[in-house]
Amino acid sequence: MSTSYLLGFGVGLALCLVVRIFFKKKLDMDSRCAQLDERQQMVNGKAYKAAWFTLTFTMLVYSIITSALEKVYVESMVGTFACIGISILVFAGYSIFNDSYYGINDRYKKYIRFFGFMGLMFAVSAVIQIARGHLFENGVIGDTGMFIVGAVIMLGVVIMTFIHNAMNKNAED
Amino acid sequence: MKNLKIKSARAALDLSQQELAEKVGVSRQTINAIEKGDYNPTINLCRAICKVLGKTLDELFWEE
Repeated sequence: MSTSYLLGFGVGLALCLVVRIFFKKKLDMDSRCAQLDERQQMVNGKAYKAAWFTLTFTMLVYSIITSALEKVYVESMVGTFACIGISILVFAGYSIFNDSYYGINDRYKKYIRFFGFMGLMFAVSAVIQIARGHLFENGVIGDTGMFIVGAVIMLGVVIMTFIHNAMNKNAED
Repeated sequence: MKNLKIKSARAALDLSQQELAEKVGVSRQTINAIEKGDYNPTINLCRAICKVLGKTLDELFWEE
């Protein structure tokens, strides 16, 4: 992975941490756990468990495949990020379909707007990079793969939310 | 097993699931899950529901 991408990734992570700490400490905003009722906390725990086992399994499979193949077609950072992305989708999917992802008030619309916007940004960036012929770098899916994985994660959450809402349109009574 | 006692007590007070959930402090889906029998609430949540609906624990949660 190029130095600029690594630097951007690191700076982005650090910024997210700073913003998160700021919102939690200075603005005294409740953590996500406080916004979940008892049933949702239980579902959240099960979702984390499913995600953890998924991450372990996917990382194991990825490492076996990469060690067995003579040539690896995906950069290691992209492959690792893809494994993390799958576990994130498992967590989100379990939580969404058991009505715990968006908390007590189920205010999913503002989150959907954010995830949808981020997903589209990632998707557009990926399409632009692919159109410029940057999908494969030295025969390996490189930095563009990160955009693809990011788009799949964000848009996956949006799609799962829409599917769940459509299935439960008349859920009450 | 479905909890029809909660549903009928809620209907007697003309409360929707959302309204009951807000008064109790849980999500609507949790109230729905309790009524459908998909979730067994803790004693604290049972007491909170009884308090809002004006019933006793036996009246809402005892199984014959």
